[in-house]
Amino acid sequence: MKRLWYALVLVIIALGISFTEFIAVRNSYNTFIKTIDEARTAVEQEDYNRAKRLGKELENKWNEKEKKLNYLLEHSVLDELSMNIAELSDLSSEESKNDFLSDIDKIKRQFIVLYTNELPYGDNIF
Amino acid sequence: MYDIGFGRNDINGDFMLISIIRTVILYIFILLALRIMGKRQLSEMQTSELVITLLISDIAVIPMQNTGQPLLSGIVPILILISLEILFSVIMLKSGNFRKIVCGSPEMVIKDGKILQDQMRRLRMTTEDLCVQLRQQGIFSLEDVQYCIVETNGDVSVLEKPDKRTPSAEDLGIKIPDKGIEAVVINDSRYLSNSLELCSLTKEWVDSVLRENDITIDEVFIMTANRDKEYNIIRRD
Repeated sequence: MKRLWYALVLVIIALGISFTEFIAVRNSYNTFIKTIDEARTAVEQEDYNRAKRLGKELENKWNEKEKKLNYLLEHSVLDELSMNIAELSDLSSEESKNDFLSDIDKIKRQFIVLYTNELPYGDNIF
Repeated sequence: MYDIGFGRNDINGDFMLISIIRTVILYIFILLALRIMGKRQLSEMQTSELVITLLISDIAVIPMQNTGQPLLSGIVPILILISLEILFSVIMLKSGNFRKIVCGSPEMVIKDGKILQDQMRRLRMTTEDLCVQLRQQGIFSLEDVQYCIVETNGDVSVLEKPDKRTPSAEDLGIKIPDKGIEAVVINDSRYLSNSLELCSLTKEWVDSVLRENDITIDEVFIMTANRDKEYNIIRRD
């Protein structure tokens, strides 16, 4: 019977780690999607300084978050996001407007995929 | 942007040092996990235990080799597998039906000296397989076997015909004194207190024996003893 308690503790640990991962990804998604949308709006309104600032903000926030997400998610996925985010602030100018918009849409899609892949839906499980 | 330094993966692959550290962590983790599960020898494992062991070894290898995967992606499934194994083993203790579903039942293949060919066909067991198992038990003739049962872990239990069995002391009317168990009381120059307790012996008695034999504990490779204070000492080379 003692071993049943051990099993319960192990299950709680496993569930704790899983929920931590889910919450971390969800929080990242909520935080970054907002900034991404703001940056997109700024470029559309041709406010490139604001877009550059938001791009830098996104990059700084992401660098902090990524250190924690590395414990929980596959590194190649995070590395790709990092590279895309890093390019953003350099593209916030009139000449690179389309590249910026394309990049930011890509980053947004990546965050959406990162989040939706964590949800325990049938298509993710099977 | 990138700090490709100590401990940070590069774009293409992994640092060996990270693999080494992960391997050590996972090795210790799996050792603890198997201790919690209370693993038996490979030959004694039930089907579910063998499945769990194989799964754990396969899962553990993934984060060991691929440092792009977080370590937790190996640890979490292993935790769940261990919990499932413990849960299943407890349920099997309580429920015979559940045990039967998971492990099956022992099957008799020789009854009253007669081979049950239907059973052997059901078990997909050939006569060669059966003979191999019997030979491993020291039986070289099918004629010697009265009962043979294939256990749920694949091992075979055999009862020989009465005239082929080794007679016991009771059969011969001989009374053999009970000396209890012989246990290792010193191993590699260290006292084993569990063994001493098992044989109702004390450390002081062991010391007195060593003094009688003019030997120090550092010179002892192994010492065995039983409750009748019969002992055997093997010195170090």
